[in-house]
Amino acid sequence: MSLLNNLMAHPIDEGYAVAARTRPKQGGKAFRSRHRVMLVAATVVLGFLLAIAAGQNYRSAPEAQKQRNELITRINQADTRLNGLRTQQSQLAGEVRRLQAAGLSNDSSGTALQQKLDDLELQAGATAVTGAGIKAVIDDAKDADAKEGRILDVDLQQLVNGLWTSGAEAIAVNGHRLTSLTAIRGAGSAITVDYSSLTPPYTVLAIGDTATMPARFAQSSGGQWVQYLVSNFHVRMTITTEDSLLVPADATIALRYAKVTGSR
Amino acid sequence: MIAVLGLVIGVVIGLLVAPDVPEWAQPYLPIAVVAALDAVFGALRAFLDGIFDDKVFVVSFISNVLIAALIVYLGDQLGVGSQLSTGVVVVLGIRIFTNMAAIRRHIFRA
Repeated sequence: MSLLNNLMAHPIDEGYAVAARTRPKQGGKAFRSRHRVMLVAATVVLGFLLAIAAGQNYRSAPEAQKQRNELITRINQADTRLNGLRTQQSQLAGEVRRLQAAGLSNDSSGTALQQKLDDLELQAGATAVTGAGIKAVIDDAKDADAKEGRILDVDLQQLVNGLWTSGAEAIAVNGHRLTSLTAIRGAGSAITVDYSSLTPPYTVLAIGDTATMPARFAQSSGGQWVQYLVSNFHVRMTITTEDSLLVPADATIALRYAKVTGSR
Repeated sequence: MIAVLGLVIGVVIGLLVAPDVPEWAQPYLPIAVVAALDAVFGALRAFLDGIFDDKVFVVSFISNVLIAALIVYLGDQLGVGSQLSTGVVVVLGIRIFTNMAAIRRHIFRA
């Protein structure tokens, strides 16, 4: 422990003692004032160093905040662009459908084909549909934190599955139509539906029989799952029946690789 | 008193000028500050002991700062930068505490 002892016993530079011993015994007034100047100069330097070190520490925090804001802006821009492209795509798809209908309406076989196409498109979710149904709005608990009270992808999946089993014919979550190709999954702390991140509250529109659907939903496993969340984690949910709901088309539905077997 | 005044002036200058610390100097700045603190407290104690010497002070101030930065730099190159920084802070911290105790005894006689 001689190192620590030495540290405690001689905390000031040996140089001071040596200089004091060798210094001639005078130390007049001029000498002392020079001491003071040196001391002031050193403390000024020290204060300067302290201030810039502290300032550096403080400024690096807003820097991180700035980068974060920049990223958020870029995400929002990309989102806006994505939505614009989606809108454009659904417009074009509508135009294709109109032209298709015009082409098929000429003869009777064409009309039959059009009828079949309409049915299939309705089932597949390629056209917007409207009708009576229920609207479920589900939101995180008021005191939600990272651990509890937040809606997870699995909760939304259960809710949607409960609606399917209770007779829903078309479902949209926050304006995203659910089709056979729509995934509901978690990415980080956000839920993505059809690969778009959603923010709470989640509005689920389901078209179906308004007389039976709420009761059947309440009895379904999905409905019970959500009810459990509401009563145990204070998740907020309201279910209302609506006379007219518009469930949009899934604009991105397209099969590029799958082919019908045998028919041609 | 005059030392505190100098400190305040330094802080004010630092805050007003607020220079951008270059990227390479950022890990060394806090260590340099601690080293400078040690030199100043050592000087203050020597002053109160009546053995203050400006040449010793200037040399110890500059060499303290440079050696502290050099040790951290060396540690960074060897991959033990944070451990060496801790070591430097501990040693200088002990010295500062001991000097402060001596200064306290000088001022308050307790």
